[in-house]
Amino acid sequence: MSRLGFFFDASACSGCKACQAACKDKNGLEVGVLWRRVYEVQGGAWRNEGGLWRPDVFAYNVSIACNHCELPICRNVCPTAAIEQREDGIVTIDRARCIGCRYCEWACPYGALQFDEPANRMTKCDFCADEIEAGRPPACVAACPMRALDFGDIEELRARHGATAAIFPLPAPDVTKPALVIKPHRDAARAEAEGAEVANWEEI
Amino acid sequence: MARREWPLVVFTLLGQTAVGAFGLTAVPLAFSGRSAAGAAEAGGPSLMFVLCAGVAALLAVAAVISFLHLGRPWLAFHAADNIKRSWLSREIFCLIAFLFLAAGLAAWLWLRPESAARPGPLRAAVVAAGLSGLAFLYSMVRVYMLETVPVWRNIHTPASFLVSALLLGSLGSALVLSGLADRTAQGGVPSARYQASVALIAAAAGLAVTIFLTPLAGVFGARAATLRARPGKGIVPLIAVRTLLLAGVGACVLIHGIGANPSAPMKARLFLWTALAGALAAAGVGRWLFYAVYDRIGV
Repeated sequence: MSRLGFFFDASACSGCKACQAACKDKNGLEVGVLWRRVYEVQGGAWRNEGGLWRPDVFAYNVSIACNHCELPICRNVCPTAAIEQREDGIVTIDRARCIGCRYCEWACPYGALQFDEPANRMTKCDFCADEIEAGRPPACVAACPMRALDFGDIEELRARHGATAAIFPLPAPDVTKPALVIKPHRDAARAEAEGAEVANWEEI
Repeated sequence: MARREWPLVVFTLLGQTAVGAFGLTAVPLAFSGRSAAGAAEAGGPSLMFVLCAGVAALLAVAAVISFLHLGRPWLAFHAADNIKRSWLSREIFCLIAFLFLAAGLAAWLWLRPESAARPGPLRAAVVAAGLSGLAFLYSMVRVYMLETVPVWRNIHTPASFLVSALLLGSLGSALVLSGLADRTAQGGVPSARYQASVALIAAAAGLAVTIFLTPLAGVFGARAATLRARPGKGIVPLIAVRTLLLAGVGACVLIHGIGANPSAPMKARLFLWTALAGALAAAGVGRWLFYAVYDRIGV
């Protein structure tokens, strides 16, 4: 059976956060819970060129939800076996079984596990499995006005867009093997090399 | 450190104290050849009974306090459901095994004190409980050795957990022994000097771990790379406090020993209480720091 994955085009994303809002709306998420988040990366400084100071800055956005990893560390650490992986790769959480220990939140390097304070339990992106089963795209993909997000069979996505699965500030993919393909922004390598920062932690 | 982690500070320290006390005292006692004296002979409970009951009580309190860390503690019975994959499940399983073995031993010695005279079954039961305690400590270490959390995945985690077990376990059990020595037939078993030596070595090891191995707030994830969100701000003064406390504990044990002067048991107990209070404070500061420097790779 094919395994599902996300594609994200960092060179196209405008940072409008329509994906984030559509996800929140579709899933009725509590305040502070974001299954999909848009990180605003920024860096650079003024540069002196022959006595003339010029701005030499860059910025791009990274939209990330759960990457439904091939080696889901959240599933491996969950003490109650509340987190499982379906045959199509979607990592689900049985909310009735979650004890709210938040161990998965410590472990996930993508911040995909989100704690629902009123319900005292963890929640996460379920890839809009109900939409997919109805033949429709996930809410985040459907909402993106720039067509920067896509989904599909992960091997087809890799064949079409390449195997890049990391971009600053995401971790190296070897730990969890995310079902994710990224088209990097032109300044992604520079962000990694120059120590860029995420500028909108307050929003995430 | 988030305020919600304080139950984990207490849970880990109580659990490590229980493992240390049992391993350092109950196991040597079972093999000392002098554990046969029971309530009937001594006119009171045997040391082995007191140790097992004390360890079981510590573990029970630790388990209850760990519930305070859960969002939905009424579902805690599911916590050992993922033994196949999760070290947290294995930790809970080992805790339950250790608790039941220690409590079972205590109940056995209470209901049938004469059975302590049969060293074979007693030793087998004590070894089984000791092994489950070791497995509990090991799984507790593995819980924190997450691939995605480099600040925990290093030698500091096992070293600091082992030091806590040895220091708190030796001082805690020495306190029990000194308090009961005159009421049982097994005073001085294991010897006070043995407990003092272990406590001294553990305090010295604790100093080394604190000074050389305590991870400063590392920059592993993007959040920590943003200066205003750097975790573990101001941890160096706390490392200094922990160092002074451990030095005080070591000095306390070194100057007076634990019950080293049999002519002044009250004075010995005062030093012992002081050393234990200092060790608890040092361990508490150290564990608080441990959670404060949490930072994962990625976002």
